[in-house]
Amino acid sequence: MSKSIWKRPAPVSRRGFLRGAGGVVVGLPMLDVFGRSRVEAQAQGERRFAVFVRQANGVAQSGDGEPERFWPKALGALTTAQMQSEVDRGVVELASYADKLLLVKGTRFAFSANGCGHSGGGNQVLTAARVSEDPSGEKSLAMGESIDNRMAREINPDAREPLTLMTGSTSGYLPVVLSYRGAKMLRGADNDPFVVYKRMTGLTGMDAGVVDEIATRRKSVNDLIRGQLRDFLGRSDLSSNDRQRLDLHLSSIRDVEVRMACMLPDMRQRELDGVSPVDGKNYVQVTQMHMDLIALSLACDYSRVATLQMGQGNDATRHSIPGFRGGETLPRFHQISHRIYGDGTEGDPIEGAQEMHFEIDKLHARLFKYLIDRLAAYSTPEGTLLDSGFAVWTNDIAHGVSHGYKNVPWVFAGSCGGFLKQGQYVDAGNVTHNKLFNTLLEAVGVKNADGTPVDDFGDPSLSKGGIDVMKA
Amino acid sequence: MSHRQWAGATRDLLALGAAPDIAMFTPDPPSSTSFDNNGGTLVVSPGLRADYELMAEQLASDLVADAARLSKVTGADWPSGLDAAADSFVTRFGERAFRRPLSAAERTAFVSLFKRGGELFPGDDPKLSGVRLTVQAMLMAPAFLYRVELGEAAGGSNGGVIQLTGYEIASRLSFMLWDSGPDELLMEAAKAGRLGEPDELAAQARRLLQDPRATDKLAEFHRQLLELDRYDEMHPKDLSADIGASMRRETERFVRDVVVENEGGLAELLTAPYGYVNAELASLYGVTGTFGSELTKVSFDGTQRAGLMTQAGFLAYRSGDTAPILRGVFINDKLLCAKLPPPPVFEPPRLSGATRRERIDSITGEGTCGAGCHAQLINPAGFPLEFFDDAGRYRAQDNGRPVDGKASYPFRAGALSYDGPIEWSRAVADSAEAHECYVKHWIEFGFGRSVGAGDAALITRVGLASRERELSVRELLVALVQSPTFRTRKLEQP
Repeated sequence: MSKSIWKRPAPVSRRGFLRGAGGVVVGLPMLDVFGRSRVEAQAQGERRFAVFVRQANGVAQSGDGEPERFWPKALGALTTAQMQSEVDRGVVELASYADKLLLVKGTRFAFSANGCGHSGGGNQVLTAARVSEDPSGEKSLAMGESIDNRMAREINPDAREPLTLMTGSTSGYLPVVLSYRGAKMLRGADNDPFVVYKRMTGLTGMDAGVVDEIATRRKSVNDLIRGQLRDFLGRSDLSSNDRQRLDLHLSSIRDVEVRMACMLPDMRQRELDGVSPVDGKNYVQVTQMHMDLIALSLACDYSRVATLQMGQGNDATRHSIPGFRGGETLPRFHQISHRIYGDGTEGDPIEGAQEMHFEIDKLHARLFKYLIDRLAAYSTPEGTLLDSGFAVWTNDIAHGVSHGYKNVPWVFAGSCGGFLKQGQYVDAGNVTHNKLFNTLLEAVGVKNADGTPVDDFGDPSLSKGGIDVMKA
Repeated sequence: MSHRQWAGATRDLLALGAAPDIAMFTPDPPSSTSFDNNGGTLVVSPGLRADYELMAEQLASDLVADAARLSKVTGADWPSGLDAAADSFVTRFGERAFRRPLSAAERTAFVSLFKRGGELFPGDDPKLSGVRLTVQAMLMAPAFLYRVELGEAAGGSNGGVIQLTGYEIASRLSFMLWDSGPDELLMEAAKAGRLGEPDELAAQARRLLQDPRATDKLAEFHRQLLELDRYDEMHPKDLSADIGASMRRETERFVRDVVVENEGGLAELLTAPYGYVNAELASLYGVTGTFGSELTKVSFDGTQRAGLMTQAGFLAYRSGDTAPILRGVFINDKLLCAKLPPPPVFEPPRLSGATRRERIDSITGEGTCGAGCHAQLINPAGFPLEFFDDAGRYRAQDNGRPVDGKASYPFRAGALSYDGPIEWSRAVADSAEAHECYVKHWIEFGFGRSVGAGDAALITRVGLASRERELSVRELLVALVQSPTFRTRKLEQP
């Protein structure tokens, strides 16, 4: 990338508001050379953001004879002082953001797993859809679209797909679980921050005239490709699977692929390039890099919706937590969550396993705080990214030992333009979590065609409506 | 096409020599088979489409900048006039890219695009610009990106089965054995209508199997099936940081020896009494001699080690207190295709006993709640390997007591008792289950789809021949290619 292009005056000053802080420098954007009228139009309104961060293996909340180690002691207002005093609760690490938090207890996944608790949880956590009958077990899939996909379709510039990131290996047993384009259409996740960054920035750094030429050529090529795809789609003998596939392809064509116009400083780029994304030892570092990229993506309007899956389906990362047991390498997280040296039901007990789980929860709380810091560091005319949108830290299992789906943790930060309550710990009242998604769709401004709030996200059999107690 | 196939096809199409680096490609959705090339789940997502676009532009630009390579692609007789050059290039390159002759409408559309090269790349040579634009477009075209199988228009469907065209069969063959498009000889055979004949198909398959691309494909199959990549992550106690990689290389080298250099079959993979060691593996295996960092072939005496299940990587990757379960589950799942229900969820029981086998037996053996799966299927597959410790070293004792490697597995042909790894490997190698399972995996990987009910007869027939030691791995692939299934596809409901 040539340095000189960042010295060019920004073609339109409306994006001049983007201001990096907290160590992330955002270069002046180039989006406008592409003349994207729809983006312009959308930017006139208030932009909303949604970030879903998912931890695996449940949290150390009460259950199966174990004491509560996650949620605050009392429902109601959250204050920094009170949260700080509750040192035996996992969310203590978020105390400094007490007035920006909304903790929601009392939701559950509606459907049972089909043979594998982790897979069934991953299938449901962002979809509120049924778990497939075929395939089953750890191969089971969700029977519906995920919330990030729905939001991205509706609020992303050019309906771009959501950012789908992951910490850990994307191969092996139950690797990628979160984001669905539709029933059984699981989206792959990116696990290498450097690759994500390179793809996001793509063609930036070129002279505007060159970009125009490329755009003209791409349009000529794409017109031809569109014609060929339409010819295929015109056949009467296509299977529904193939038709769906070609429809996706056709709708994916952009004559000008808008890439992210912001860049990270060279030094940070080199850091991204130098880290192995699959080595468990880099778990924290890679997760933070993904979070930097998410913040950059929101700030630069690459995608307004992102998911980050921390760890595989049944995350077996071996953590080493500074200050805990002298920083020793702990057993596999999945085994800790079962409290035994085993990934099924057999194994010797792990002494102090709940304490370890509590510490791992706190580690993830600190990671979530890192994300909140990043979102709070970017200003927009409507406030910080944090104020304009929300980030949520959740799990695809509720409790470690039982691996059940009742009382799944939802820890929100950010009010989404004043829509969500702030500084509160609320009880949704043991409802299915599709209602939480209906509320979130309303928060980011997604409506039914007739202008009424969306109340039917997820499986059609579920009871409709939102969760009023979440709303400001 | 899978990412690997895209890379292989462009390498050959553009005479690149080596496959382009596609590490940046948007990841594919997870597969529902054991392999990454299941056509049922692959899609061209917006991210991947954009990746294709960038890569197509780059490859097209590189091609016209390299006169020697361009000449290979256009042919030495490429006409000099623009019109003739456009016609020639679109026809020739199009046929290779789409793996069939272009239709008249396609040819018109691409020739017209070719001729706009001069306008769209102002200032550049119009012929080269035409090539650049055409290559860019053809690498993005559905006919290149998808393995299109429309079948013989005239044939219609017969009992829900559609006959594939010669060109479609050629593509199946080359992607199955090379992860790339057909070469000229294969295209000629398709054009001449010879690929409907099983003998011709077999001859072509044998020709393709002698190519290094087939060797790569054979290695890739075993790499994915045996999950060899994961060995690199291993760090067994008291061994070097490189041991995981050495173990992976040992298995890769062994597979190549058996399958490619010795024309062996599954039975040899499971029982061949030799291996490849470097200094560290030699010490682990208790092999005497002088070894360096490179792998050297060594013979085993056939009493402790023979075949894949006794290799250090296979054993060490599945270690710890539950090693017999992990090893047993893998053997049942991937080598015998036994359907195991998922483990139940209940309060974890305590293990008791002096040896690992006793501890596992205490909670999963006869009379316990784990008896259904563990005592019947999992433990008998894992216990004979108790002669190996967590690093894969041979041991006669566990915790001061003699290792008990006796077990009995309920094969379809009847329960079979055995003692220790050698007898167990032999039992697996002699079983119908293992050979059918291996064939099933090859259908998944070779045909790029999941296995259906319609494949049962083929699996049984080829599995039997493999079990009877009539088929090497390569000949097993030839047998699959000769089957009617290979030349047809199922009619799917619109």
